[in-house]
Amino acid sequence: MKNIFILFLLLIITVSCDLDDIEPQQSISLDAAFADETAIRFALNGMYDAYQDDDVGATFITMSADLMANRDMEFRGSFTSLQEIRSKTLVTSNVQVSATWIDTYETINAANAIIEAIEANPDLEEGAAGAARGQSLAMRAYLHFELVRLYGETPFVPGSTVASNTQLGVPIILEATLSSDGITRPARNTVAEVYQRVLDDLAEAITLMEANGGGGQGQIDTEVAKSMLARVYLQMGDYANVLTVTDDIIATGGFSLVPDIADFFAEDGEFSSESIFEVSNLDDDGPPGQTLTDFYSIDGRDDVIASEAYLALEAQLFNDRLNQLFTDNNYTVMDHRYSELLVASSNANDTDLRVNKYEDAENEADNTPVFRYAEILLSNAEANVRENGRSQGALDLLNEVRNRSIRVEDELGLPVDNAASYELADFTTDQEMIDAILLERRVELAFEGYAFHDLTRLNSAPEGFSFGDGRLAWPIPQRERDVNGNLEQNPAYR
Amino acid sequence: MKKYLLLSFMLTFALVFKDAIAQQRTVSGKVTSIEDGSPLPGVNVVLKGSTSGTVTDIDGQYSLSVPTEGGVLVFSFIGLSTEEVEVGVRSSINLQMSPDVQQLSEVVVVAFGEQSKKTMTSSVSSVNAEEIANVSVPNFERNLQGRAAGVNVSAASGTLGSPAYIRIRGTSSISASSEPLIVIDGVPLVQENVGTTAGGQGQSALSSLNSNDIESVEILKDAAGTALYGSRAANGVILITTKRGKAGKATVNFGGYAGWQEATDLPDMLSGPEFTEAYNESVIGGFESLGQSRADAETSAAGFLLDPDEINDTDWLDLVTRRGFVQEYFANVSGGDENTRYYFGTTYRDEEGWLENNDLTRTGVRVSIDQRITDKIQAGITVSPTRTVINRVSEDNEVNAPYTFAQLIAPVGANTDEEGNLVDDPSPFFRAFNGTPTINGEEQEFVTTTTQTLGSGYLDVEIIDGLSARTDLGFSFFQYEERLRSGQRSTRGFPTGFARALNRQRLNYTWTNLLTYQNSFNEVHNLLVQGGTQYQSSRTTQFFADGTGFPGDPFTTLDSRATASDAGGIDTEFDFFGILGRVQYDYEQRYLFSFNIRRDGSSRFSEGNRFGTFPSVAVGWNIAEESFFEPVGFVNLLKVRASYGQIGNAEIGNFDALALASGDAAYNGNPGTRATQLSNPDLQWETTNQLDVSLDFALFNNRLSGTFTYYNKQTEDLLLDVQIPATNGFATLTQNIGELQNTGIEIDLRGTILQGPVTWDLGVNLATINNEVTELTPDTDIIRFGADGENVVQVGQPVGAFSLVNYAGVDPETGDALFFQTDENGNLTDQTTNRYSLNDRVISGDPFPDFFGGINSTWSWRGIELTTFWQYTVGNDVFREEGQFSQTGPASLFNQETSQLNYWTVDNRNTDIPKPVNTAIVSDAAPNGNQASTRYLEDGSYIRLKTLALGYTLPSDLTGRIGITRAKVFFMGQNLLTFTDYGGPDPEVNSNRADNANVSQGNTFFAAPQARTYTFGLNFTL
Repeated sequence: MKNIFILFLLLIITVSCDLDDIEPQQSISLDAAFADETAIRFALNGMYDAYQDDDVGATFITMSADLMANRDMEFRGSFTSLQEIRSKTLVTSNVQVSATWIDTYETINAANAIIEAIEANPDLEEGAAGAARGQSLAMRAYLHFELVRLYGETPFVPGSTVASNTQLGVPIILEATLSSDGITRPARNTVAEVYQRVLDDLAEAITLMEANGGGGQGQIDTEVAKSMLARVYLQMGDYANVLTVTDDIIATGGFSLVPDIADFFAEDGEFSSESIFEVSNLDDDGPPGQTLTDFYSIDGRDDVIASEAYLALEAQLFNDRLNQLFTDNNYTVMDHRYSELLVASSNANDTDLRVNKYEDAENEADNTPVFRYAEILLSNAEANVRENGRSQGALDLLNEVRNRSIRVEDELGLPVDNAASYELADFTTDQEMIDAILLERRVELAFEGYAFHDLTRLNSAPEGFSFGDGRLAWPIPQRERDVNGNLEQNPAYR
Repeated sequence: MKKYLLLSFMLTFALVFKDAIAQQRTVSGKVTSIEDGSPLPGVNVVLKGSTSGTVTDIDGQYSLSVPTEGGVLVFSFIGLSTEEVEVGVRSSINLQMSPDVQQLSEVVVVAFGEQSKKTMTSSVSSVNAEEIANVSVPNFERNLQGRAAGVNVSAASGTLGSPAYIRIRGTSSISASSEPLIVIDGVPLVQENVGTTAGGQGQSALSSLNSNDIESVEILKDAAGTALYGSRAANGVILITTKRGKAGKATVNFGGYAGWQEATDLPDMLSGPEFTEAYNESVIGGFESLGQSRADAETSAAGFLLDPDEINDTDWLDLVTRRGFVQEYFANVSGGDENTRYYFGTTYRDEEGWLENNDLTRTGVRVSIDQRITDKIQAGITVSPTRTVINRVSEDNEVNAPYTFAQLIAPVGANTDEEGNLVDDPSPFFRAFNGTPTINGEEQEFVTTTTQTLGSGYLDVEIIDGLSARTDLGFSFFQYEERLRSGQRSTRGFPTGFARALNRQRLNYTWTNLLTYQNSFNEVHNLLVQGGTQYQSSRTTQFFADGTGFPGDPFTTLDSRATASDAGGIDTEFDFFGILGRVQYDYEQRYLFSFNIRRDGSSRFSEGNRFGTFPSVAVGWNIAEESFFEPVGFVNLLKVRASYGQIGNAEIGNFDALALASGDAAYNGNPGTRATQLSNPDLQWETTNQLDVSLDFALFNNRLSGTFTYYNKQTEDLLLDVQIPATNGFATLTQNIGELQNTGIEIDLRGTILQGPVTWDLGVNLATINNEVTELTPDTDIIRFGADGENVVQVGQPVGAFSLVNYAGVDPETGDALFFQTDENGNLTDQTTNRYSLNDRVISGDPFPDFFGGINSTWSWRGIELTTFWQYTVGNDVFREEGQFSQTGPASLFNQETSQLNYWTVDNRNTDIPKPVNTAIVSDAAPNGNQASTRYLEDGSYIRLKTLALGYTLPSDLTGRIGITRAKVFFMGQNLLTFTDYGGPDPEVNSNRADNANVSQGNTFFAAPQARTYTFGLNFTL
């Protein structure tokens, strides 16, 4: 009996030791995540993964601009958060407004963590570290730019100096938070400060990547950073710089339009010669949450249709000469941006046309185009005319985009090449040519997140609003102001 | 168990008395139980006024020498009514003994042992296993609803297998779990809801437990009762004890029931013509709201209107619901002798839910053996494998869900074509989603299979008199398999089909060692000292794979997929280790004292912060035992008791204290890492300090008894997911910060109102909860949750209070929805506006009832027994988020509840339904009244006839002739009647739609109503 008693005591003692340390199997410690070059390489992929989030690069940075413009598409979905964006009746607790804020700053933090880890570690090999730092700087800059375009009190006044834009922007975050001690409660910087920082960061990123190379497929390299810079200058109305930067990109010769625009958006058209930067969404690694396919595709939620206004643009695209060909010679004229990239329902009663740019409803793995060569060509042409007056050079770029999509066939069904080309003589003023470029741009880049910002940069606004209307700025999310008293709210929401 | 303990005690006595007595003649007989006719061993049989006595043997037989004439035999057994029988001249006396339900020396299961009710100093509610045995519920925990004071159980949904939320004495956490610890036969369960793929709440791990296997359920509510579970006790503990064999002849029980079920209620939706009218009006209204005249608006709307002659009229809800058939059967045999006792049981349940394609089949076996190895050593083992297969349907905020979809889809499309085939695009106009409610049912298969084996073994050694050592090893092996296959016409599977296979398994084991010393000194000092250790380890692994692109619906497995669209795997574990101690002392069962302590550690916290100490102390005074109380003869028990203690909550993630970067961050096929969590090495237990003051009483020969309790739970160092500025790259940080409290009273009364040929037993319980957040972070006194921030955690308010703009009805002139405005201090004014602004939000209600409980009433007469069990809750509010879809006018393409037909028109100005404005069609129109407001907040009070049972036990002299000891037939109905002002179909469900179950307990979003069930059954005992 005594033996059993001792046995019991032994049993109790055996298990009284301290608990085992249990290591997580799906995570590593934060320190290890930035410890060396290999770790930083994975962290860099992680930064892109954060950017790939639906609230950031994959879906909502694009879709928000289309919703805000409420011009080329009609959103008729049931999400109240998106309905509010569409009708500019936002409440401060709007979940999309909160989510884009949260997840964009999460991506910025990921970029800052890489930048700091590289700066703190002099042992790192210069090339790879420089490339990683360049990509992170560009990502940080570009996301600040996107944030300030959505949440800034009023937009950057086109054509003004940077310094004159003293209205409230968004907090500039340049330091990573990696421990609970590092939590900050920043105030908002001015729009001027944000733009200046964006320009500085992009310049540094370009220098770094020119020296060390950039990222691979689906990642940022020198040309991507330059495209970002061009878009920033365009938003600022700084056409001289738009011209310089886009000239650079065109001069590389590395990009060309794909022969048919439908191929660019086809499932197997990813990372084509036209693609400068696109968010990679794989079949087995789609973005979490909602995709553009989900909203835009007829096979998804089917929430979006092309607006009457957008459909009406097709007729405007056809100039008199083209119409003449059409009526006189029985030629057929079709614009692939309409005939291929819009699609009708199989239900005969349903005559609305849907957007067919994001078509992979099966896996919702369409890449999200962020920069494609057509934009660069059109930006360059526009800046060129604005800076130097109309020219054949600018016209050639416009025609390049136009002729790709507007297809003319003779009565035998044979293609008539470049039939849609404009000639210099078609324009009696520079403004006429600029208008033609802008029309082309609107049709070419519709449903890709340009509409709202293109209105703003031209001192315009969605229908029913005028430039600088406070309701066109998103509110600072309520949840953010609940925990950060330093954040001032935009006037329309006070 | 309790009988057995007594048996050994009585046998000892018997040995002492056996040979000492020699008398003139002998009386013999058999003592049996009136309940099931089984022989009762160990019954004390004493000749009144003498020292002469004996106990019954294993067959209930006794034999006793008595004087040649007269004499009275006293039969007594703890838990049974003592009987006195005149011997007269008889030589044979058989007796049926009946249970004394008011017997206060009854022993109840407590943490790590058993205790007599009389000397208990903690608040424990016992749920009678008999009451819940034949009640047809898919999950056992539903049975606890209303049965115990202060225990609030709310079903998440009426679909089969869905969990219920159990709150003991309120919600005591915000970010950590508020679910109680559930301990089955000494083994703490790991609770989690699985199968949330399909939206809704998934299914409960408890769905594999059979009600018929349960011997008793004890709910430990206060710190004195729970402190021995230390860091996991703050939300209360539910102890479930399963059936084991009893010494005596083999008893065979078998029976079953069958019946049908349907939804308690369904929402009334518009018919096709009604919808057409309302929808057309809403489109015109939309254009009118842009400033167009009625005539212009009608012109603008023309292209969008439905033609009443072109529509169908489809009742989608009717198509996805049915009358489901339910059946359950059980059989068990138990028995044994002094050395070996056994229990073998099996159950089978087959259930069709009231939703089409929602079925459940459960098969279970239970084996338990107890063996006395020597007179000092005893060992036992229990193993109970169960297998539960559920054909699930999607739920709640998931368009896949047939119940949700059937309410959303416009009733103007056809379900089938002329040939009777299901139509995949039924609407003559837009379809918001692929599939239809019926296609999602018929062309989708979602099967979950849960195989769970609970097992435990023990070895108990009596070292010296009064000192025993016991070791218990318990395990649960949980395996969950999910197979989802969505056809190519279904919402989820469109356009090429979708499949998911998921496998999750968990091994959870617990090793408990206890040393117990129990003795009485001088017959007045009763002492129990206990010490022990408990180790628990749990490891969960899971993998899943998704595929899309199938050559057709007949191909059901992932082998046939074109694309492996997703895959994943996890592996996670935690352990707990505790050292526990208990001292329990009473003086003549009059002055009671107990002290419990547990030092508990968990791998969930960082080193240095792993261990916490959780003490509790309790005192009690049995006043009725005092000599000065003797004159007050009608008082059988009067006890005051109080306890105070500190208990913890550690129900957070396994690695929340660490700074982590996740590897779940691949991009473009390249592996990546991503910072996911900031470190918080200071993370500690959430601590609850609980005071409990109670009065127990029993009067008039125990015919009236009850308990009054006041409790006060103060929870501090809340494990709170504190919101931080997202500009840091993280939105929350789990911290120990903030305080909240739950206070209230509990009243539990039981009485035998009629006794005699007709008996009437009545039990009533009532509890109140005052829940209040008393402190949050230094930076904030409000945290918002929910789609529109409508649920708040705010200092001075209950957890999950509703912060809503107040709806003021409709402007009779314009048809605009009106809202009450607030002044600059945020107080509600009587000014109204048609401009909806979140600045006008005020606290407008909360999900906690003012009081809630149950009323159980049993009448019996000559074997006929009628039981009614009512359950009620008063004063809780429910936010019907679904109203923003189905009570909007319509503002969309979705179907509406019939209440919306009363919308404003120029001819119907006095209404509270605004002019319909269809913002889905007229995209520039502003919403008119369907924003989150008190328009959708309703009083959730109700009283419901939870159970009505009518049973008849056939006379035993009749059944005895064919060898049946007891035969009972019964009818049982559930949820037969509900009295409520709530506008939705079922006030009982809540869907916890938002990100936090503690905060959103009063929200509902298309949660499927409970079933109303009618069953008929038979129970036999051989």
